[in-house]
Amino acid sequence: MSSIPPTRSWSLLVACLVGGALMIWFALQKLGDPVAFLKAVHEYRILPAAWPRAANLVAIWIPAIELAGGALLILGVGRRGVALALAAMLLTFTAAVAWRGFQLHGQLGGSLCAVKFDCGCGTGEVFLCAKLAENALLIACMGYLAWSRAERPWSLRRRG
Amino acid sequence: MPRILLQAGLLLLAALPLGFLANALHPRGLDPWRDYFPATSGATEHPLAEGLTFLDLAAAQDYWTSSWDAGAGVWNEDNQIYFLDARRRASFESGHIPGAWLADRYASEDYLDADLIERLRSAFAIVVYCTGGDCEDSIHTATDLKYRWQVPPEAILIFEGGILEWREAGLPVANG
Repeated sequence: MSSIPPTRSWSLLVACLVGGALMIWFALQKLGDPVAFLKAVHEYRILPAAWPRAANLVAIWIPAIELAGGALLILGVGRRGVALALAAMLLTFTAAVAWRGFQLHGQLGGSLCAVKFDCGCGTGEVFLCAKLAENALLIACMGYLAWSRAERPWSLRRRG
Repeated sequence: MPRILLQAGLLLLAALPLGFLANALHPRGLDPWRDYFPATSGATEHPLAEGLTFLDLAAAQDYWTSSWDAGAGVWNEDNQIYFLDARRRASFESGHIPGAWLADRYASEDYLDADLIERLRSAFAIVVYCTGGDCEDSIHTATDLKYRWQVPPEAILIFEGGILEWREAGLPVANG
């Protein structure tokens, strides 16, 4: 008895290419200037004070996750798991960005969406609302890639 | 374990050595074991900065004019006064207090050679500055001088206003 072949989805391919390319872009910005990213991580002040070198580890590890994850998404290898890891990471970052944004808004006042700061995301200074919207789209993209069991065309792996 | 979780875990695990490798190959990579923010790692703000003196613009300018030979455009070390710029090279090159030494606080070992450290240990005053505003690099460099290089803390002076206040006052700035 032959099994039903999984459906192929071009939208998966587009999501993989766009999401993967964006992750690689973010990673390269951070890898290009490790000190700037370390400073940005420190600015959040959410890492345990008892382990001051945690910021170093985060600054070294995160860009590598983004780079490897982005490359694997483009290649179509381990797509669902990679997207799940990236979605979880993005969710954590987004919560941190929102937290920092609200803190700055409390200090500066004015409109929440006018709050602008370097979130350490690899995109320089950003407006809070625009960054949160961008991250929401990326999380949705990663969620779709993790959730869908369809296959994408042009993948190095048939199953992912 | 579900395959999707295995894939996610493998990515996270594989990225760790990749990150360390990329960091090791980077010319300005981080020292993973160094505490880059010792003064702000604790619950209280800048506890390690205790015992260090903070300068305002007028005091920093006094130290500077006592050692800067404006006519010759050179720094006179007879007074044993030093200005250290705690910012990074690119910021330093785009404008610094004339006569200041570059002492990028993330790579101070690259700029503070043994001879300069010896001179700093016997200096009358070492004025450390960074950008100004909420910049903390001058405080971290000051604590580095105190704890890492054993410079007497009474000689270390932090100019909090930094290059921003210096520029706003219309004082000279050197490039390159």
